[in-house]
Amino acid sequence: MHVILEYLAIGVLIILFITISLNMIEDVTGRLVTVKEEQLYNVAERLVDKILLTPGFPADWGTNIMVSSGDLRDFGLALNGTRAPYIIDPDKVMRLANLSILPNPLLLNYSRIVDLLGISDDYGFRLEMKPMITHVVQPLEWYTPPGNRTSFPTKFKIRVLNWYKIGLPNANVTGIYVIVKIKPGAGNNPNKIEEKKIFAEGNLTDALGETIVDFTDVVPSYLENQPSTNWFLYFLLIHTQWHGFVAVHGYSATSETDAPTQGYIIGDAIILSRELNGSSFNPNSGAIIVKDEIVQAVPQYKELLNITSIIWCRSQPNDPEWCQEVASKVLPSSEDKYLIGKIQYVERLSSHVFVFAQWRGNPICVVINRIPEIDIGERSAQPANSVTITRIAHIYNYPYIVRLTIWRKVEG
Amino acid sequence: MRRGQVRVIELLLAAFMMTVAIIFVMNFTRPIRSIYIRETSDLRRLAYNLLNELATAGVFEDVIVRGNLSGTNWEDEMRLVLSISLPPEVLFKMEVYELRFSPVTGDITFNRLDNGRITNLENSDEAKFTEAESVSYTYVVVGEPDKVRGTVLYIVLVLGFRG
Repeated sequence: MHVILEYLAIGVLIILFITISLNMIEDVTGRLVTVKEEQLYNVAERLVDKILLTPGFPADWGTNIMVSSGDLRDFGLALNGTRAPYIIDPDKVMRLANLSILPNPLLLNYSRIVDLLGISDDYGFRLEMKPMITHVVQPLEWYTPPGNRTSFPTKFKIRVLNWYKIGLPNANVTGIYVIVKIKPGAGNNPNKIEEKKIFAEGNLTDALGETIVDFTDVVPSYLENQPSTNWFLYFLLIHTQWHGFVAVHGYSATSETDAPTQGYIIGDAIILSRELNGSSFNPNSGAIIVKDEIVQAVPQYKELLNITSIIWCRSQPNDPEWCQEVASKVLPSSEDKYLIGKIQYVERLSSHVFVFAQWRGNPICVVINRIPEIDIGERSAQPANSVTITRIAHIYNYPYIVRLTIWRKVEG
Repeated sequence: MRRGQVRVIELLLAAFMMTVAIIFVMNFTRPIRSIYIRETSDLRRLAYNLLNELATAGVFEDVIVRGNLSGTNWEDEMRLVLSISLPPEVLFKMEVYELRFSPVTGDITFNRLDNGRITNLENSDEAKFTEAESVSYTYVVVGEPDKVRGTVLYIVLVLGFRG
């Protein structure tokens, strides 16, 4: 009896020890999970601060076209020298933009960013940046002047949306319609801008965030009396004000859907598709820049749009020294894809640049948006546990939403 | 009963009590889920970030001050501004007070301006946040109209996640 009792006691003791051990293991694992989750938030917050509050190194990596992604030693998007937090440098943002119709030759890609942030081995990463207020423009009516092949949209439906596509009611939308009259060049004479005509119409958005901006009276009456020997280019600049928040949007369309109507501006370098011919325009009037938003509040729309000059690189031995440098250092392998030009002057607060060029013999207007939508990272990842941090930053005076999502690679 | 058997039973009882005590202590000393602390710390930063943006854009003058002067339903407008600006998964509740200073007695009184409905909670009185952070923000009206310049607003913004 005595021996059996001892065996029983030992058995019970073993069960108790196993129970304690299991509980201890579970306890330690549980603590580790919470610590790891906490650490993910720490990492995400540190990364957002790093991206939005530091300018990176070299600090002028956005504007200095000679700094390649390989030369970059530290990644940060803050405007160099700014005293306020969350002010982003548009030229640095432009280095992250990658248009589907024209790959960015100076793109800072995902793998290089994670490398610079020091998270390439452990964390997955997605960085989304977009204007807080966005626009969708849909032309409703067109007008074709007699004897002219080009059609001009005269009536637009404009949807004003927030950053996750909810319509904004009662937004004050002003459409600034610009028609540029061009005298075609003959022989060695380049095309020359003769006149820029500006029409402005304003309206409030309805409950769904939609409004109509109508130019059906003014645009046809201007165009019908113009000689058919001239070329006419148009673009629409939309300026929206909603409870003090401001947004701008540039719109230009051609009847040719595959025309390369977008491009990049990095520092003072304009980068377009090589299919375009920019040199066919007088270099003193190659582009129109939109002046800063504060001035735009004043309804003197003519004063907002400045004609500026662009010097185009032609891949010729007599090109300016700057062009030779760009060709050898920046675009050594893909020079034949891009048309590079140096814009004479860009205001720091200029949101859009409209560049005039010829494509397959026809004049077109290329819209360069300096407040682009960015989405970098692994979109297909489905991690078990992720952390998203949202911040409202600024490009110039325009609110810009930045969202960073990170997760551990081992979890998905 | 023999003396040895009693010792064995004592041993068993002692071991059992130790086990229960250890398990009990381990369960009750586990820290509160620190992820919540982190999330609310981020909500606090987001709340200040948003209030700063609203102040810079002049939203407080445009919506709160003008709404109170004109007697319109400015709370709905403010709710819309917050809904549009914040991520869709974040719940919010805002309270707006006007701070009044008495030059005679030196007293400060809080005069509530809103009707308690600046929130995206369906039933703001009963709904509960699981994780939330409350921030307070004092703002001196600097924009137009002239007659309200210098008015001090005290704004309480609660951000959180649904439980």
